[in-house]
Amino acid sequence: MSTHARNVLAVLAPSALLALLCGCGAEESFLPPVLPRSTPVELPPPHEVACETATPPTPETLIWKRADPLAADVALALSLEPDTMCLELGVLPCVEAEHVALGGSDPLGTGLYTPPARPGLTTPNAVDRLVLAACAERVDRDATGPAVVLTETDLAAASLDPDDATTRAAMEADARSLHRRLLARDPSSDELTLLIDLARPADGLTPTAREWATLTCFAIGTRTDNLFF
Amino acid sequence: MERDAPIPPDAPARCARLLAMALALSASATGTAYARPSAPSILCETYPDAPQCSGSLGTCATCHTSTWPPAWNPYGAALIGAVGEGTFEHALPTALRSLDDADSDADGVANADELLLGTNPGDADDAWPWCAPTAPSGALPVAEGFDFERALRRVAIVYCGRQPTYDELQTFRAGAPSPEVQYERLHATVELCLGSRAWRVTGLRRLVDARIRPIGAVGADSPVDIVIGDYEWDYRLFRYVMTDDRDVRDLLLADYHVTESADGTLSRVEGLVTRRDTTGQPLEPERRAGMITTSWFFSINTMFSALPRTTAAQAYRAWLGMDIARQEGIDPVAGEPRDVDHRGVTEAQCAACHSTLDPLSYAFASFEGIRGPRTGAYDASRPSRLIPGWSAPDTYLLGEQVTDVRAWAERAVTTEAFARNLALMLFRDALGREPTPSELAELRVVWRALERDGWSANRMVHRIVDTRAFGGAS
Repeated sequence: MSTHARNVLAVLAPSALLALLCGCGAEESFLPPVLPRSTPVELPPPHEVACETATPPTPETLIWKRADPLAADVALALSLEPDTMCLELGVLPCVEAEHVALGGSDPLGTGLYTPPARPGLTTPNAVDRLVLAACAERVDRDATGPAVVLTETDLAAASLDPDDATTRAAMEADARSLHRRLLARDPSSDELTLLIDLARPADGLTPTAREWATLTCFAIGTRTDNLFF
Repeated sequence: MERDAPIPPDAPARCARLLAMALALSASATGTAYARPSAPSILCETYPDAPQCSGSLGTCATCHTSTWPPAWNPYGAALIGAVGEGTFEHALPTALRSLDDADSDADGVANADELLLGTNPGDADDAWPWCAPTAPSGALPVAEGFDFERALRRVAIVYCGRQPTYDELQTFRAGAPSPEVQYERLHATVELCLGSRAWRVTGLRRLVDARIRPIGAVGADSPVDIVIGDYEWDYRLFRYVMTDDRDVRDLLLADYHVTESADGTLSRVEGLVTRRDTTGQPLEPERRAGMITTSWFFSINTMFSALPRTTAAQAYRAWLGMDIARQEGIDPVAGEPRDVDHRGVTEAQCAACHSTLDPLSYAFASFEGIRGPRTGAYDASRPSRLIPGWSAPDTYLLGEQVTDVRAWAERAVTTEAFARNLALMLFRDALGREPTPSELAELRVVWRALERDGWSANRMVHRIVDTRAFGGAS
């Protein structure tokens, strides 16, 4: 497997996790006959629960970060406006258009009063769409105007050389900044190396600086620890 | 089947199910056996500490796989065999106790243990081997191993609508804080977030959507200009009561409505809200009962019904947490159902639910359904106008007779079901799932503290944040 392919897999793994978690439930109802109301009776003392030493089952420990907080976090992290960072057809905010797929409800529109219990089949696509659009928007703004988030890397460069100390330091600074902004923590050295390696040629293609910046932002923004809490 | 085929591990349970099916078929053929709607309340009298009986009533599914035609799970089948002489109601407690140490569904957990842990003793797939955790032993009301940073992140996302920033986390960690300091910082954040717009507007709306059940097409902003009511009154009232440490009993007792200014400030409105269209609140304050007497509540639930069973069922479901359509909260009243509107509800397959539902509904019949500007108004003559031979039968809620909807609400807020429902509502919202059996015991402490906490929803949120489920303690 090529380096590039491995990197893409690493980027998409959280989305795959979302897809695997999707499912649905079923309900039953009954219609019994009637009998008179019961009367209180004398009862023996209650039974004591026998306390076993068995390890209890582990409940679901992760919570799905749904539409509104996800959009708010991405927007805040990238200093963008939630309503404009990702637009469907250039008009409708993605977080509204994909609200149910992202885990929100739709009480006034479709009468969906309760949000989906689990991520659906299209949830990974909607998450990728939202984060990728926001990252692309941030990179565009930083490349063409005063940089706000990606302040160190030369975004006009046709490619980035991770083995050049100056270039690498700039890339690490921006990757660390994205990590802090999107995940509220510093990256480990392994995580940082993986992100820097996204700039290396793979399968005969060398990403531009803007492509590297967008992919780095996307990789961090779709990490499991940004989609669950 | 091959002669040497191994016996499947679930063979005993399967045999019991076959027995139950045979019993059901036999009973149906002779017409002598029924599901017993009085059984859930007897079970709860026998096991008052069972989770399904704490702030709720037992469900038929404890014994039944179907109540019409009746069919039993292995536990129900075993009970049939254990019921001795005398009436079913008097024999059942002894029969229940006689099966305490048995394991009817062969899942490795005794029947009584399952009932007291909150799993089904008749369902082998429903077991939760677990022991009650010891209470927090330190000065803090959180368990050992409570993850304060995880709790902080959850508080921020659920109640502030966003995760904490890198800098905010650094501040939280500043000075290598002790658990006591972290606890203080965590709860300061809870308090801050409960005052945020993300919670007071967005979060609380999301919390009550399924209880208000708005329909955009016929609301005040109807795109087709067909307005049957304005549910924004309902949303505002809910948001008002659930914030600023107000008394949550006003969810069912408020005799006022609430308006919102441009800056988001919510204020009480006393008296009638009279309008020429259908967006007002024509019900007199003395007859109001908070969320269950708004104009929208009657328009969407009563609609054109003479006897508004849906209205009562929704009040029971939304605010006491018991869904009659799911065989929850069955508490039959003797002599019911009377079938006052000749709907055939005395038929056996209808009567078990309607013996609870109909007496729950009578008091709601005096409130107008969809009727223009009069929607939700009180009219004592409405039932007799719509139901020939109306005799004003008594209304009952959870075993007590109530005189009217206001009394219905006053009775409702005194029940443990009301507090339980509120705690479950907030728990599900925070964690996105139902509590497990091991978490339910801790959650019970939360809802039983509601009165001590001044009936404040905010205080209840603080307590939920302290739970093992929220803080990630094992």
